[in-house]
Amino acid sequence: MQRLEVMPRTYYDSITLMRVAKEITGMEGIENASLSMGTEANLRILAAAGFDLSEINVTPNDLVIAVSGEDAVLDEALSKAKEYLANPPWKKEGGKSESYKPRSLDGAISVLPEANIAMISVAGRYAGDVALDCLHRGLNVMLYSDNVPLEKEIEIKKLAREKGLFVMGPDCGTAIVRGVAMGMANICPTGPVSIVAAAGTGLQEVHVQLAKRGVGTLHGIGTGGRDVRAEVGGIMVEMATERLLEDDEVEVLVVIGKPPAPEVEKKILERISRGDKPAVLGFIGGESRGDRDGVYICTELEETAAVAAALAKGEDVAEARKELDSAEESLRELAGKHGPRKGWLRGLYSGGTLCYEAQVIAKELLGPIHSNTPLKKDLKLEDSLTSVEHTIVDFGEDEFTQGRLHPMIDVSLRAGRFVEEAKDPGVGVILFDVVIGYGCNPDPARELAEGVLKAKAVAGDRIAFVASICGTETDPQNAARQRSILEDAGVLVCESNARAARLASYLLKG
Amino acid sequence: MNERLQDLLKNGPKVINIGVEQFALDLKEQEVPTVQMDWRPPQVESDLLSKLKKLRKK
Amino acid sequence: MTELPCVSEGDELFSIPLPEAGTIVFDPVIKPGMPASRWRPLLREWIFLACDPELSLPAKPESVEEIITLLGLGPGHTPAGDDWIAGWVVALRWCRSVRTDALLDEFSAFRREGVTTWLSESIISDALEGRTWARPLKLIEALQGDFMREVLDAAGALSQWGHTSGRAWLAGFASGLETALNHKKEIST
Repeated sequence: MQRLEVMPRTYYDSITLMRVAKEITGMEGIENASLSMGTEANLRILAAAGFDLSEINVTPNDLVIAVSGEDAVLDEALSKAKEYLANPPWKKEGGKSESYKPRSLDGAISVLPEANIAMISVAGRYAGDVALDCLHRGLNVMLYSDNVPLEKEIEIKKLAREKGLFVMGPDCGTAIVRGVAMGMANICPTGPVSIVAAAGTGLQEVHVQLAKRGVGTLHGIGTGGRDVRAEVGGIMVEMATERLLEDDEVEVLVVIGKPPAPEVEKKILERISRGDKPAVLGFIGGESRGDRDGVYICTELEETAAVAAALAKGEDVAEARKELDSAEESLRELAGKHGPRKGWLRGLYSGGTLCYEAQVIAKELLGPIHSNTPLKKDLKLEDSLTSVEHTIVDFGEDEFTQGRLHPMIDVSLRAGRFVEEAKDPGVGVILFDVVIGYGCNPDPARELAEGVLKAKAVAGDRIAFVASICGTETDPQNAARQRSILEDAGVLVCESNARAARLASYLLKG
Repeated sequence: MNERLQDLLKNGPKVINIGVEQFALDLKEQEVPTVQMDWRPPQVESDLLSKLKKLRKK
Repeated sequence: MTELPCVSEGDELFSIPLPEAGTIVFDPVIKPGMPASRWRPLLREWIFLACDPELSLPAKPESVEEIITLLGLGPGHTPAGDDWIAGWVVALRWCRSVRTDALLDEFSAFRREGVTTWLSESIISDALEGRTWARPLKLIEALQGDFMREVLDAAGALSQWGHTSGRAWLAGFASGLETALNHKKEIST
């Protein structure tokens, strides 16, 4: 049995909703409970979970409480849910009372007058105006929120440029400022490299790969994925590049992202060439080739980090690239040893850039890759929850995150998908990323490993699982620990996303 | 260069967090001066209601 | 004696001997003063706590007559309307002036007994006589200082008082401060 209730014009943040859902699911007689805003994405997921949405009338501003289980307890579950929303049970009774949280920006500034940046993670339809307010008060902005309209982004960035302030985003999930992890980011040492990233997990992967090579990063400035499109014109990439080239604490500059619009790429190259420090451009899957005069061109994330690390350490760049080539050889051998698989590749990603890079690499080895964020329009999945042949899906895409927690925080959707994919007899390899650090799930490997084991129960040895961990041992989750949890579940864990994508492909290519 | 940007890059972030509270907690763990806002969506309805109330008085 | 004696309506109470007097640990008197200008933006936002749906109080009542209508408004032992008034009175006593005294005199003149709970009536009467509880006094002290931690902690403790009482109190308090401080500005300009 099931029951649905709509609370019109009711807003709660996703974390509160997730926690209340967890409490209700724990009630006796309750099979499933979900609290979510009435966005298209959530309604689709509710429908897929078997809830009947035909009677209800709901908008994205309304809260939907859905419970299923024994008929006798459903009403109680609904009222308990509403009670918990008003009085969260996890806020300790009689404990130290919480500090007042200012409700106005001016109030917040009066409390912290030295504030120099606002970090915004409210719903996209409001976030743009909040960002404008912050800029008007002279604050830099990190705009974590996605689903901010393109026109709003352009308005925000033009204002920021006028005022000489940084706007990192929209959809900027990761930033590093003087080594401080902002948003979803990793703990690594600081050092001579700084990064400008139009790519969240791209920044994380390069940051981590540099740390693995003993090289620290001072600043990692996110610009949001759309910055390098023609409409936005690379406003933030340009500003950040300028500032970092001028900064004498920065010895090596790295710029990464998906290939920008040609005029934006030209602008970036021009600016960097006028600078006096070596720069590494990592345009993933880009067409440009050929290092020139202090500017090094890479097409993969680990490669970008390897080249930048070599420059920072005063080592030979060509050597660094050779090392990567021989790593590729070892992967081929490992694939042979592990035993090739037949059939399709299914990639389930939480990081957009990692998903993109995996597609770029896999397509060279396996052929066309379908996706919800494909390299070519004609490979776009009709239904992102139904895979076709070789498929790699980005679960961090807007369609999955409207009114929902990001897959790096809530891993349940992907863990469930392992089992769904395993049921398809044509699947040979499942590939995924595990992103850790601040802002992410406190123990993603555990729930993902559970999903892997459930999938293996269905598919036996037919499917090989390949993963990479984007993180370090100094992260709260501890990369080494995450690795051993996954390896215990029989997952092949690689040193980087590029290597994982290659291994996954070699396992199928034979 | 803008003063606040200069301060950000040279002295590190001092943050007003608007939204997910976990981010503020993560920043505080890294000893970053942070203030958490209790942000709510703009209340269009209450503005309307108070305007209606004023009309009724007249 | 470690517990208060149980009494019923109609009982006669006798005076109970207290142990030898020690130091006074709590002084309820509101000493005149004003908030540091740094906190004005915070005070302004507290006014609008009144608009929270559970409170539904007017944010800026325009006259003492309108404020009187708040007496007894809302459920509970201290209705939200009364909490708002209590905060308002404390504010006017703290930032005391000839004008605030006049406003409070006007309020007292309009005020009738038996309109609200005995607890609220006592709280409001105490406030009119310049006395209040520990949490408001802590906030007042913090607002005279320059430490954000103290202000946030004191405001947090107050706003979590009861389910709505604290927020209603803060809203009235902030509204009273705005009235008192604007008047002070008027005098000095």
